[in-house]
Amino acid sequence: MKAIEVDDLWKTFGEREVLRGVSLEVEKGDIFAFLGPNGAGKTTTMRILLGLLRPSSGTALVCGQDLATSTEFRRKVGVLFERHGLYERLTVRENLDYFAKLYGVPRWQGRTAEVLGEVGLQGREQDRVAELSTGLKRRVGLARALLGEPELLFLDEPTSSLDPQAQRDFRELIVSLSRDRRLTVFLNTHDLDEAQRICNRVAILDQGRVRLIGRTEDLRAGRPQVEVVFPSEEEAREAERVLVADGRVNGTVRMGATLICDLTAPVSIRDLLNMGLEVKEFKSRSRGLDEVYFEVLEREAVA
Amino acid sequence: MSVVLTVAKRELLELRYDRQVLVWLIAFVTIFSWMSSSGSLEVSLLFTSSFMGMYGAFALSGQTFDQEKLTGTLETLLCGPVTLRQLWFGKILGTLLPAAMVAYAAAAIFLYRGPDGAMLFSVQLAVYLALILPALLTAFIGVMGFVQLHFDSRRTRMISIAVMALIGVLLLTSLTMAGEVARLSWEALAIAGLMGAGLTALPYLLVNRLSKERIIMTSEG
Repeated sequence: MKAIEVDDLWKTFGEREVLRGVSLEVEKGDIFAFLGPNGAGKTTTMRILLGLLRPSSGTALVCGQDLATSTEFRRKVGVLFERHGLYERLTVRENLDYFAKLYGVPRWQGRTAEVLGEVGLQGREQDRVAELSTGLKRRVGLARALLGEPELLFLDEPTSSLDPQAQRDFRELIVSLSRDRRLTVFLNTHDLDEAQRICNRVAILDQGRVRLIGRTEDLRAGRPQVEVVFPSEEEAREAERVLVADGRVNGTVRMGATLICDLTAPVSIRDLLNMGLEVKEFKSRSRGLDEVYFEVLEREAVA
Repeated sequence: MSVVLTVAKRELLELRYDRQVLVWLIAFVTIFSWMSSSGSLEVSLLFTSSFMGMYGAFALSGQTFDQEKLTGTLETLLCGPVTLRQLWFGKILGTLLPAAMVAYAAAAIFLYRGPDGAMLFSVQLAVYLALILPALLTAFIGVMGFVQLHFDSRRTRMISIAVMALIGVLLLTSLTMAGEVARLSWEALAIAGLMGAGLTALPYLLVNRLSKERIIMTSEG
């Protein structure tokens, strides 16, 4: 059984179509990044999966269950929204105890102490949440999400507005939790670097449609590229013509004397010299997820 | 039931930090009750204490229902195994206790200052304070909680005040029609009690029909 199965999901608010036939699958143990610009429909999809919104049509299942109706199964799902959802005026301990009791966590006192240890918050139990930094609040939120020993964790922009150190610590924490507990993580984010660093699968959502979905590694290594610097812009233009005619270059981006070439077959600096081109600098580059992302969005914008 | 009590206990824990509201309420109750206690005692007691309690509930419920929507804690709770009715009922209990204390304080001041000492030890008064007053407050908090879950916060303040006024009008009309407007009689108590029970039952029956989607879409400020 898949951890998440979404099939032809549509959602409209009044006249506005927010989701237009979203389909995706997430395997158990995946750290899945759901990427997209603001307003793409990421949070709406997540809310439908969590049973908070009803789809206009289509299905959204978590471990084969519809969370809108499976009240009991909700114990097995942990959630951390961008708004951390903690009681600011209560202490860390009071917050966790409250949620542990509501989730019916057995031996909740011990479990609360355990999750505080897991997220590195030992000794902060008596601190009021309002007095904690944003990064620590997110950790408390994560501790709360882990209380019921979930099979699946939903995180909505978990590192937004954190400083770089807190971002790194939080990402490491998610990766180690996923690895140690074989926890499936569904991560809503628009942080490409985050998705690239910690997620093994990625989907890009734009204007309510999944534009691209696949393994992070496959997407990044989809097409190799070389970046070549020529002595002048004119020579770069001439090289562009030669390379495209050669057939091993699928497309090019020219920026002054620099040419970035999408390759269909390997090209070395020797090949270029053999073609009679003078080269100042040559480097091969693999595409980052950010390039894939912007390419997908630009292609859709043009379409 | 343990879930309901857990929700209620958390509400009370949070109230520790509402000192400003509590101080303001105590001052308001003291002054208002002191001023109004020189009039006709019996029905004034009914109205003053119940409305003081309702006003207390109104002031405190901003934290209980509206604030939970605005801060996102309610959205997190709705993802869990707790039902809407359990949450709603727990919140009523959590708000009822301080609201009842406000109402009892108003009643105590009223009786202390009032001219008709004979009413102090009547059975009707005991029944009113023990049963009818909490029933009226529960009804108000229940309806207001339902309203706050259903509407966005820009509307709930006004609707809550309207609910308070409606309860007052209903109560006064019923008592006038029963010819009991000047006395805290058994008939007057029965009318007030039935009204409290009816107004509590209505949102109790409706709350599980509330749409989570509606709650979420009215939570975003």
